[in-house]
Amino acid sequence: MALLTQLGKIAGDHNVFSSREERFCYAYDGTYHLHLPDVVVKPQSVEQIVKIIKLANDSGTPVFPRGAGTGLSGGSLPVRGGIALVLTDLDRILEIDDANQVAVVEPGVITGQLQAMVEERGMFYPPDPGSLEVCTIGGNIAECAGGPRGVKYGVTGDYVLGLELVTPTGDLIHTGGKTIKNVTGYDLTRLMVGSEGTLGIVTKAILRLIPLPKAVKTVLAVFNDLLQASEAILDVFRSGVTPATMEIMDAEAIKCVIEQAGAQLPLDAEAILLIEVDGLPSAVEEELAAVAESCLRHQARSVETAGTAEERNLLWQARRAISPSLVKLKPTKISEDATVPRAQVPTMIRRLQHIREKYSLNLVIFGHAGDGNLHPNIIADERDAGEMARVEAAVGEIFQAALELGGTLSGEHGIGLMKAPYMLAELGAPGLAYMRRIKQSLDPNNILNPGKIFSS
Amino acid sequence: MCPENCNQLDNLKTAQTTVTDNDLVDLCSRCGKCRSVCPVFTELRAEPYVARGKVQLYKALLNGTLEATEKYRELISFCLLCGRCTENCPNGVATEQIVLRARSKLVDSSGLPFIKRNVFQHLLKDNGRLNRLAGWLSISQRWGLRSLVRKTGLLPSPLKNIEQLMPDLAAKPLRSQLPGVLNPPGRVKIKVGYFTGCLSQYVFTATGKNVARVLCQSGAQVVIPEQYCCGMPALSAGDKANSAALARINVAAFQSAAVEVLITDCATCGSTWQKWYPELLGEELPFKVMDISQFLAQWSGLYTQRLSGQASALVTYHDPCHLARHMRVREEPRVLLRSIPGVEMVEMQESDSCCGASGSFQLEHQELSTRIGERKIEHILATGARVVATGCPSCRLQLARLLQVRDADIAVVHPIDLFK
Repeated sequence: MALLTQLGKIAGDHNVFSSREERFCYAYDGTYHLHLPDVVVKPQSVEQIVKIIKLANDSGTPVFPRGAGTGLSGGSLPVRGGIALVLTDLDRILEIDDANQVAVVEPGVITGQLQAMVEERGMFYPPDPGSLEVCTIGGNIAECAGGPRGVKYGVTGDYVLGLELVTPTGDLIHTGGKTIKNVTGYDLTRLMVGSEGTLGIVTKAILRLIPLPKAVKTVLAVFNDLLQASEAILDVFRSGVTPATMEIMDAEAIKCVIEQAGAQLPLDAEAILLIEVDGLPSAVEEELAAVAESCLRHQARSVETAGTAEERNLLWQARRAISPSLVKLKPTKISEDATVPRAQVPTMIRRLQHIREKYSLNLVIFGHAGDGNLHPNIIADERDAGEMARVEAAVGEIFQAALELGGTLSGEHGIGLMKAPYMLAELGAPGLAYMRRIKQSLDPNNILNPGKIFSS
Repeated sequence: MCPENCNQLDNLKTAQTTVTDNDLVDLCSRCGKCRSVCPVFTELRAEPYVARGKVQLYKALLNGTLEATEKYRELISFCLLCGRCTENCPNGVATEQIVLRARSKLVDSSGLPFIKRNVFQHLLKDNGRLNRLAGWLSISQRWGLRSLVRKTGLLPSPLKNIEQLMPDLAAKPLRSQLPGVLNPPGRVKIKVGYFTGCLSQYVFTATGKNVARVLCQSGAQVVIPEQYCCGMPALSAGDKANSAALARINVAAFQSAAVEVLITDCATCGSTWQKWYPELLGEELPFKVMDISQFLAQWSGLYTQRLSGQASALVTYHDPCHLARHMRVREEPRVLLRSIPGVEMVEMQESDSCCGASGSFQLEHQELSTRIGERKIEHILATGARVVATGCPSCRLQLARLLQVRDADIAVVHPIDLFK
């Protein structure tokens, strides 16, 4: 195959995988879908990426950019064969600029490692997706990854000041820069964030950092009634506190992680809120009291503060373990991230419970309740056709509920493969056509990540 | 010769496990968290080498998406069986068990390579042959044949790898130097069996003698019956039949000696007994299996006053994978070391990361094994310790070899060696 030889010449033979077995290891991500690439390439430099994209345009080969393969919408899956372009070897932190509080990194840098490095220097990169120990900045930018801290600190997109990227036709351009303000022409940086690798391949990112909060306290509030818990969420904001995180778990989620969390989580509660406040030590104490008061006003059965770093860590481990540990119930997990305005969270939870009963499915509700970004997860068995049909109907209803409540299909996972069919419902025909025209004009040969965002 | 009829392996009752292969692989949610801890992935940085990749490969083989090709076999060989992924997995996916089953399936379908087949079938189960081979090798090493071979470069490269990794063998095997039963100075408080393992038997005989002596001092009657390789080399190569045969012979040997506790001084042997024998045999063991440090710390908390050791050194401790993760022995060796007058302990970074040896892994992937070990060496050197203690002779060989390459004047010992 001529393509193989040429790719080998560009990236080195040992960075090109062609065996079926090796390719298979790039056919999956964090979803349950499988799509085998024709070839896997691990470029070692920006120049190599430019050459690969030009070669792809010349030969009409689709290219599927990929980081650590932890995505939850199928965004990196090679749905049309072609080249799986693995960017994890471009993993240098090029600069940490203390004076301007920015970091300049390559796309393969692991989010958690960047965080640890800047925190050592008293700075903070807040976006904290559940997979932060392994996921990459490139992937985070492509999907505009969020995380629990989104409620106070925003998502990946709020920290990207500038980019260097290879366009779908193989040009190298840069957007934005180190300044916080920049209105020179279109905001291409924002356009690229969340574009899921359909409009360009990020080769460098300039990230905004902020000062590391000096104090953090975590509150665990247990509720006998899920709806009381959701009311407490609104009460906290009304009282003037913006918590750093505001997580909710329902009874099913609690059951799943009880092993990881030890005795700290009660098995018979209907909902748990995990709330964190951070900032200056004196402010943190005041906010902590306000949060506790809000919870108690809404019949919290207990309100505990995690005193030590260890206790905090344990609680967070449990929260992060929910998503992966669900497959202990059944092997196929459909993880949604439909998001509603915060005030609609109680209604959304009611709608989700109704959907759970209507389709008699294992539907676990948890997520970032403070910013309305719930994670209804359906646990099923893909070998059970009847159940999967019910799942599909339920997913459709979840999206419908979110849209009716003024929300959106995806808060932080991206549209990828799995939500593409629902785009029309949120955007309408003219809105979707407008997006499609952007894609068509920038990627005339439809080389970059075809089959994503837009259903074919 | 082998006390049982080893040729009738077909009739052997191997593990009747209730956990199916699909149960094991379906637990993997493909979250990819193992990418942050797998030592092989850390070096090779490609998905086929991480736990998630291997679990998905085996899953694909089970459902017919992939076939057992040479490439598949090669990828499945890239696992140290260190267990770090399982420890960090939100679902506790049993990668080691999955990899062992994958390897076993390969052996079932296409058999073992010639050398391995003969070693497992004819050497490990025959102490007479093993003793003669070890004796011959030991003599040849002492007569300088080794340096001659190295200088002349006579050996073809696969054998050269083996020769380079071959430790200096003792002149006489341990068990030929010890009686079958050793009695404590006073009243017999407990009857223990000592499973010497191949490395204390043929290489670290001094450690073996220390183990026997310390056990006696702690009030135990020590029984050392005729015994065989624990079977892990065969098991990790996928040879379930020969490893199960060895398990049966060994269990029978200690059962007929009526021991209350079986003591190991090798993390790998100990974990093979504790973790894999019940699965291989389909039944629980008739006695407890304990690492020597565990036994001493729990029994002799007890006798440590009398176990007056002496040393004057800064000591760091390397946690063998099989001891820390399989047998869950982490604190006990440290407790023992700290109890020795003159010993000052210093912790290295990532004390429980794999040293890269992993039995025959280092023969198959010598360069990679060394790279993994190099990280460990850096952590050791950073402590400034003069002594590294570790409860696994296989780790001990790897660490000593790599430290020697660095010309580092650091002794590598079993914790028990510091009890003089």
